[in-house]
Amino acid sequence: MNLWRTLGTAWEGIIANKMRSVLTMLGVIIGVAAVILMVGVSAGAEATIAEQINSLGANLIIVSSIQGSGNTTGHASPPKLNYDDAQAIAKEIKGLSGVAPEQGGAAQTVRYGTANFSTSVIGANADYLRVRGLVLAEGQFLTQQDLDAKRKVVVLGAQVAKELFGDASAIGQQINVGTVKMTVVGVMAEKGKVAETDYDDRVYVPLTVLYQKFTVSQMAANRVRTIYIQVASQEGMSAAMAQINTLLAARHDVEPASPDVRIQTQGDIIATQEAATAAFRDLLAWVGAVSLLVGGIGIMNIMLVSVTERTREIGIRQSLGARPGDIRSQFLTEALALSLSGGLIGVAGALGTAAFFGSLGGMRLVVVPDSVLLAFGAAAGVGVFFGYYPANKAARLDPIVALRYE
Amino acid sequence: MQDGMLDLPESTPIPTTLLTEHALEATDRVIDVQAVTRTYKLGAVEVPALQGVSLAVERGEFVAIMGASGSGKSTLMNILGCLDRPTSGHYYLDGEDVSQMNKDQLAGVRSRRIGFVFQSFNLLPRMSALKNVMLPLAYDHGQRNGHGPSHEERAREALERVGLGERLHHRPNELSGGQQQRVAIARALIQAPPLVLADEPTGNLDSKAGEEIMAILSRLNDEGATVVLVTHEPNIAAHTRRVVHMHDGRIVSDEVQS
Repeated sequence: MNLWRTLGTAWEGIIANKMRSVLTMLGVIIGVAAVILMVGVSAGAEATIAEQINSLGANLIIVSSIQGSGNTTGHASPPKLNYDDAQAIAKEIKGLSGVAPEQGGAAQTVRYGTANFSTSVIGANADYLRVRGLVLAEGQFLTQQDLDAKRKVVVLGAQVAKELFGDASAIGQQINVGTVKMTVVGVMAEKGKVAETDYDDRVYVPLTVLYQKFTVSQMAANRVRTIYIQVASQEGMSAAMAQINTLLAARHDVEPASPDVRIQTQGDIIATQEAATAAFRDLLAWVGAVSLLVGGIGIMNIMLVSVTERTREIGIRQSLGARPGDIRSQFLTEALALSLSGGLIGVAGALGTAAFFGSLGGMRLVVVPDSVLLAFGAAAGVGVFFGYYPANKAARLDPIVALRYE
Repeated sequence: MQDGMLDLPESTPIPTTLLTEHALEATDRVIDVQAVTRTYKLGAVEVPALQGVSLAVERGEFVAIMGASGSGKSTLMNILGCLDRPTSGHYYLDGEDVSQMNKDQLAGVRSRRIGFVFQSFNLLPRMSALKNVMLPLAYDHGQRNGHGPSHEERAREALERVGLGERLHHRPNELSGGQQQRVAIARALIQAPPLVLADEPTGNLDSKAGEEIMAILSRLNDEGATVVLVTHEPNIAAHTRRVVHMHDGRIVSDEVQS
């Protein structure tokens, strides 16, 4: 029998039992769709995380203090990173295009007239806007003069500005931040949440003003929680990281091999996030694989039923000259047609679902081409693997016994 | 016009490498069974179904094999039809020893050299009459492509020969028993085999349809086909020219009828 006739015969077999065929395919359909969608969901999540983190500035080195480590006495010490470290980095290390220390104060109530809103106060410097890749909606950001003169100026996050001023302009207005009267010089563009940090629900004040007016205790004077450092070029990243490590180790009086600060790039942070989602994604892929396996067993089950039901047909075909190989390929083709049809429907279903969620805009789904190939290939493999035993059973039937089968 | 279809012996020469010394002596024998035995094993018990059967059928003969159930006639039929192999002895079909062939070779022999007609018709229910008749062509791996009439034309012609030219696209369940058996005969004829084997061909038919089927088989025989049928009905056997009786796995009589 040639290929087309074999395919035709297999297709007739599927059509003859439509309901049964569809139910048989269901396992494969679900398995294939699950693999593609699960991989798609986690790929979408990873892409979103990576984009958000990258959106916080390019070629960024992030230095943050490690709580309670890095001293030689064995006792936990308070984090040591401070404003002087940031200034030292800016002064002594070449090839940097910006150094932006950041310190958070206690939450404060901001008031304008009768409107008030509780938000966090962030101490920053002039480089902060550019280094973090943030955008102003109006006005200007903090300047070096603001820091040097300890001017009482403030830049509002988008949400804070909206809460206090609605649609009116905030620039030049006097507001109370806690007990301190400050002048609004700028309003940030809307940014949203990135990794649990809400960039719209905060206000920026000069670091020096933060130390003077909003620091909880004298212990915390001069401290920064994070220093964001922008390197001028991608190539300079690793050299800059090494130099920063050496510099800070010397300043903090620790061994460079066991620093008391964490020095990371965005790549490191993305990699950490991906490692967390990779385990999740693998788990989901396994769920899909198990579903495919169950689908395969379903195909094998139904093929065994089919071979038994059609024993007489097999006998007739044998009497007309069908060789064992002809019978085997007939049933193998049928199993393959079942699993491939299921695979195609599964792929179509997954693409449709991805498009549907895409149009809703809620969940981001990235269909990874490899996952489509993998799932479809696995479906084909399942068809051959689980179809072989029933097909071989059919091929080995004794024509005399098969012909007499009622 | 029909004669050409059954004149296979001249048109398909047997490769000389396959011919045995014996076959060269008697090429006009379609069936030459020599001392064939067939023993079934049922657990530890050996059941002898055929105990040394020898039978020769010349080209163009019309033979009935009769016997009670258990006489071994079905076993002989299976061996003649290359569905089964003898335990010992030789079977030369159209001059070729088929008794030691493997499954694939036997399938090839069934495809090209034997036309089966069964008691229960054995048509595939999902296929039209035409598709059923074309089925043996699908399994003929040795066929030459691109020459002569197409598969469908050949099937149409075969159905016209049995008087079903108007029922090409009917499914078996849309046909009467007699018509179904005629489709089965057309299927048996499509490869123009040297041997047509009919196993109780009228067993599931009323007497009128049975007579029609026997008339068709007689006509095919007149046109040159070698027909061997198995029956237990004497009036069916009366249509043939030679009656072989079996009992307990042996041939007990072999009579040419006038």
